[in-house]
Amino acid sequence: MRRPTELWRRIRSGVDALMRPPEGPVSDERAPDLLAPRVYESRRFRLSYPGNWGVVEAEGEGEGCSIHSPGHSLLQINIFEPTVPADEALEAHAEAFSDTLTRGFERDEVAGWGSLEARGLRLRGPLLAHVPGELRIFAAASEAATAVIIEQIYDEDRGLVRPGFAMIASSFELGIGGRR
Amino acid sequence: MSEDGENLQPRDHHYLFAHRVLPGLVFAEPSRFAQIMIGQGEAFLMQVWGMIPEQFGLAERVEPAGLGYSLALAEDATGMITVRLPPPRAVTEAHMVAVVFGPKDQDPARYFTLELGYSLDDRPRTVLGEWAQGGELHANFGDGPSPEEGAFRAAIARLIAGG
Repeated sequence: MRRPTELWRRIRSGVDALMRPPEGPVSDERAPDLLAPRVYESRRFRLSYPGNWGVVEAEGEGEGCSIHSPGHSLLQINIFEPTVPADEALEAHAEAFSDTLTRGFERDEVAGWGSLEARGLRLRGPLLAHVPGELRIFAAASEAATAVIIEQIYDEDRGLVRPGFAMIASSFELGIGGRR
Repeated sequence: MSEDGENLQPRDHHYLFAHRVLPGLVFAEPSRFAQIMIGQGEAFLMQVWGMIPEQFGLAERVEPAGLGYSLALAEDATGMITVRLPPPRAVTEAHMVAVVFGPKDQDPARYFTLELGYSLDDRPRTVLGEWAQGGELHANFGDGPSPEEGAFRAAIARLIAGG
């Protein structure tokens, strides 16, 4: 079935508007604003993030948040209370992503996230079988809580967003409001 | 035809989302679409759904109840985004659609639909379809599976495997 030309023109126009920032929900990646950082603090953690990134608080029972760049990179923090072993939390998260994003990915171990003594995994490959990128998953446990941090970065944006991720990692404090 | 026997026209809002806007977004920038859905899928779908009436000058707005999505990787290493729509009530309105991604250097994306239909004796059925050639051409593959995600994904996998 061929579309009528006039209708197709209207559709193209509507789709173009949806794709075009700032009207639409699709935007290009931009450099993180490191000069005007914002602070996010919850019961168990505190961090600074770039001024032009956004935070979405986790819904449901668990504490946590997702921090989004202007493009499509993101960092997610999940807090578990009471504490669970970091290794267990790390493997559970890696397994959870396997069926949807990362099956067959290269897997490397990485150590430390910011000042946290965290164990981490780097999973590299085409996300959803299509977009080259990586997930980095870290887990660290304090006496009061376990934190799992997930970084999602696309290869084409890596150089642009990496300083934003570094700001978050270097400012992250686990255990605010309770025992460290 | 609706369940009570009434002839219904597809609602513009519902139809445009599944058959025009979403495939338009997919085919315009497949990789960008995948990135958005991986990171912010629910918010993105809600935003696009909400923008359609204004963008296309529609008088009737359909509530997004039931709009959702899931991601899946198949054994053959293809990635799939399945988008569930508010329940269809007229022929050609979609139960769900699926975007299938292969390796980036191959066919960038395929867009399948599972639409509501009625048999000649007025019993509800589903119809499996695909928007191809960048959203310019609609293919109809006949009877589709039950409107469940697993059955839809399996039907698409069989279709792709069979060429």
